[in-house]
Amino acid sequence: MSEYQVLGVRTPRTDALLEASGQVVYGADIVYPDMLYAAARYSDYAHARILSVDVSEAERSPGVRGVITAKDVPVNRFGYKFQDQPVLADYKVYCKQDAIAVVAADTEAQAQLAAEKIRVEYEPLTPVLDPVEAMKDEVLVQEGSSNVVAHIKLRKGDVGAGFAAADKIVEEELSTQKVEHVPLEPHVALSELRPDGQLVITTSTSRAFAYITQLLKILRMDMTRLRVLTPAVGGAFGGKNDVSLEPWVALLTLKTGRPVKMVFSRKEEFFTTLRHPYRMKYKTGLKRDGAILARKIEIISDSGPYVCLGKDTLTKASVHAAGPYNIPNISVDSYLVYTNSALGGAMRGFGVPQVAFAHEVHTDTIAHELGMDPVEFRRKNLFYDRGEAATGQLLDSRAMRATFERALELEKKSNEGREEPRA
Amino acid sequence: MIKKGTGMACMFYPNGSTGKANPAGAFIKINHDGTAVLNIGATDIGQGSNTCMAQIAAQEMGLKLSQVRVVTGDTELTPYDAGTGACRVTYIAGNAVQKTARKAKRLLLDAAARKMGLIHSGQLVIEEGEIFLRYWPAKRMTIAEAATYSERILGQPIIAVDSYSPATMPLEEESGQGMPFEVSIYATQIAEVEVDTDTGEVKVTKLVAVHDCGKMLNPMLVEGQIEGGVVTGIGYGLYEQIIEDPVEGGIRNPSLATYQIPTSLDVPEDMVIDCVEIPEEKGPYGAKGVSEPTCNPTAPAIINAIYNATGVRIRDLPATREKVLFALRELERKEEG
Amino acid sequence: MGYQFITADSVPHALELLERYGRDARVICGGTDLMVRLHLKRLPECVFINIRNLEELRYIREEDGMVCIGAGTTLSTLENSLLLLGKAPALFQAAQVFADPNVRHSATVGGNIGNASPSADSAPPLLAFDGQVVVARKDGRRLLPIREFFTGVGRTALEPGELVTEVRFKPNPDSAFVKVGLRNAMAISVVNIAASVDLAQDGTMKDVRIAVGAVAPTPVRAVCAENCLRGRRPEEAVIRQAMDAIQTDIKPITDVRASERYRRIVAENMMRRVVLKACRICENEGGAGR
Repeated sequence: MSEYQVLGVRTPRTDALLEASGQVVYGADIVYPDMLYAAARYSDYAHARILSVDVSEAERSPGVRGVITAKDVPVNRFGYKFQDQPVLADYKVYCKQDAIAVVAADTEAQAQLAAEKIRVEYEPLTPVLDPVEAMKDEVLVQEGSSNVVAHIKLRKGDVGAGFAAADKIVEEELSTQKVEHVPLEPHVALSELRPDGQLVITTSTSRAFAYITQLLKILRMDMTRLRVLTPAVGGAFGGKNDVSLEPWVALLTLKTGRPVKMVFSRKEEFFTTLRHPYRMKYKTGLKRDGAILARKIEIISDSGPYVCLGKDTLTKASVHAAGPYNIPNISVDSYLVYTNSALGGAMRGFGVPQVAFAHEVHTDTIAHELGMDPVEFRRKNLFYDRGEAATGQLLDSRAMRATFERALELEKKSNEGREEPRA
Repeated sequence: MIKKGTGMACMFYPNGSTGKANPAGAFIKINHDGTAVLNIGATDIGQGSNTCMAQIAAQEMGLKLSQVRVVTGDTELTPYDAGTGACRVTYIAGNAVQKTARKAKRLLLDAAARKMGLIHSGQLVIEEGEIFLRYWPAKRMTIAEAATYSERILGQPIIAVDSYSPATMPLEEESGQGMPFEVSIYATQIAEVEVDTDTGEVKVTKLVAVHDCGKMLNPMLVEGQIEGGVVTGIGYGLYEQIIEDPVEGGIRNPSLATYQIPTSLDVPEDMVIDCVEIPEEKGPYGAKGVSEPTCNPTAPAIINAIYNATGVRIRDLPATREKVLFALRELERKEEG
Repeated sequence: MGYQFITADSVPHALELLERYGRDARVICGGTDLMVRLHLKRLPECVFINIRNLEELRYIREEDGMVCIGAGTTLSTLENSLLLLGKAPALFQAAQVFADPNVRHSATVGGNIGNASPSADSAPPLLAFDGQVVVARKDGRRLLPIREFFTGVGRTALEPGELVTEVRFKPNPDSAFVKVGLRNAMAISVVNIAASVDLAQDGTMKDVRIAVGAVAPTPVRAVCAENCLRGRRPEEAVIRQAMDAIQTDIKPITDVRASERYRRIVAENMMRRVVLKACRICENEGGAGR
């Protein structure tokens, strides 16, 4: 084939050889002269008032060149729509994954040793860890805000009328767990001050412009003074969507004048955002022949102590919660709830894996309740060429049934010539 | 005892962020030697988007893949991009790249037309690195010649800029109605499992994954994305869970020894992967993004297969061996009682 | 004192070093366990005595009807041994499902038992074969029944200055191993179990030895279950009794991997599976340990 036919062919990645031979430069591979290494001190409590932070011993520790705490952060709250997340904990820790101080030292070991020497005095507060418990607002995670930080509503048609006309109503509760992205490459960030005064942050991210937008606010800079570079990234899956260690290395460089590098350990990798666990209630009204008349859904999402991308993920989840089915009447109520548990954020599927699990398991449950084959039930109800989503939007959904029929065909074909399964 | 079963799951998922502008920008310059540089804000996070974006640019401008360099990952040198997420790079950044490459190609052809003495470039085509007249192919020149002529003789270096953002709107606050996305993708997966009723182990013996991404720009990357997504989905369905202390808070298993991701022995040897190629008219060369939601149908397909095999319905993920075994015991007890 | 690292160039040299450093010494060979603990900062300061280079500890041979395995023999050597495949399938099968290929290339038999993890995969087969541990010290050596070797979680009957140089046992082709972890590779056993059966012509189990791991502070022999089976045929009713009996043999705990209840049910079910597998009935039934 001509070298000029580039599309539609099985072209190997342009970096395949370099990747396979270990020659791609990832953040952790980068070394600057005079570079310092950073290590963070994390909270001992899931919820506590901070009475004092004493870094004097850490500052005297061998090799230490600088320590930062909340006092060093120009604007110590960040977030997209809700600025509720501290760069470093100031008067309170909201979860055990909160960092309180970060040390820069000549070696990684020295930085870690010094971080352990930071003395923090706390007044422990009752943590609220269960989202349903948190909805009662008996303990507030963020002062001045209900723990129910967002309520997303979707109303299509009239679910009441749909249920009233139904021959059968099926209800089901489903829930999903919190999971981590587990990229091969943990988070890494480096910062250096260029001679012209520009602060350059090199970081493993999937959204350089979202990062710089946050960092400009935190550091009170403009885009002539701040620049974000992305080296090769070893997987993100949504876990590198949100600022974490970047402001720390930046502030340590500003404090010490030297380049600073930080690479998260595998343990710290679990301290960054996770996929939100959802608790979901599904209620579906049906005709005896299997037609779906109405679906009512309630979702509770455990956000952890900050909103981060919790509202966006929950909105996307709500829009997709009813599944790719022709349902005239849909109602969705989704609640984003603050807790003192580990922070939720973006992860591959962005809220939809949770509801896809729910709507597909629910589909099977309904089929069995109706005495129908789940495949036939889907064939009856799946979007046709122009499916109407829960938002009322008409979709070009020609591919829905095409994938459905092809999958059945391939499944059947793959069984040809196979032995009969043992009973 | 081993019990076998199959389960199905379907899904739909959009390309792009929900109900807001999420543009991608692109710069292209064609050098005098006929090579090109593509600057984009979209980051390759390991999924291979740099390759895919270079493919689109090369195809549009009639270049070889090796003649296009991609510059990315720099907030100073590249135009804005909303980021590698929301399954948006192939569709949105891809559209930006195609639009920009089309503009660069137009400048290149205009220069060629002037050099050839044509009134305009309408009848010029690029094939195999050469520009020629469709109906008088003897009249031809290389891309490098046209680029050199434009830059060094006409004084017009070939530079093009464009961007793309899907036509979306925010959802109405009270009803959630509106048009939050421009295009969606679809998939159906079928899982076949073997459940060991003595241990609760669920072995996924086969997984059929049929996805929609419009036209496949690079089938190898598409397959890789689907395979990876399926493995992620198996982890979600059967193995992975953050365990937090219910009283004190804090993660009890922040390590790969205790947080179990699937290994190569936990994924099916029999993975049947396919795409239905229905071209998307709004996508670059008919394409849509594929990768992000490939994990979405996997877990429910497995859970439905477990039910099909055993009559046990797991309603809280993941379906660990322990959970499945206890549910089997519970079912036995009910059936006996 | 920090960590020190000394490489022994012979077994006598290693024994001399062990004597010199006494309780401060820690033998390292494959390092697949110690390196992890070092990285996690869960290893007290010590003097590593490195025996990785001692080729004289790497062998599998047969002597007077006994299989003798040098302590420095890797698990991957075991899983490639035709001798074990034919004569001691329980140990062969344990090696096959041990961690993953990378770890098996480094981890050793001596290290696996010396580390005395309750879930060590090589322990149940050695217990089921009623094997012995050859223990050397500077001024001599002794034979220790493997049954007396494990004394607690991470504890053995080894004295300071002593080194495991060999494990030996009378092999039995009618033996088997089954493992249940949380996934199929790189899994720490939630239950592992081995059985070795002396079968009479009529199918009666003249003798049977069953050992089970990860269900007590040390890998244990399931004596009560054995008593139910001995002298009988592996029939449903007999095995049912043994399944009940094994509950008194084990004392599992609940941890981050599995609950006590899960371990109890699985120990029962896997006992049945491993006995049938050792008797070559319904071999390879089920998913675990395949």
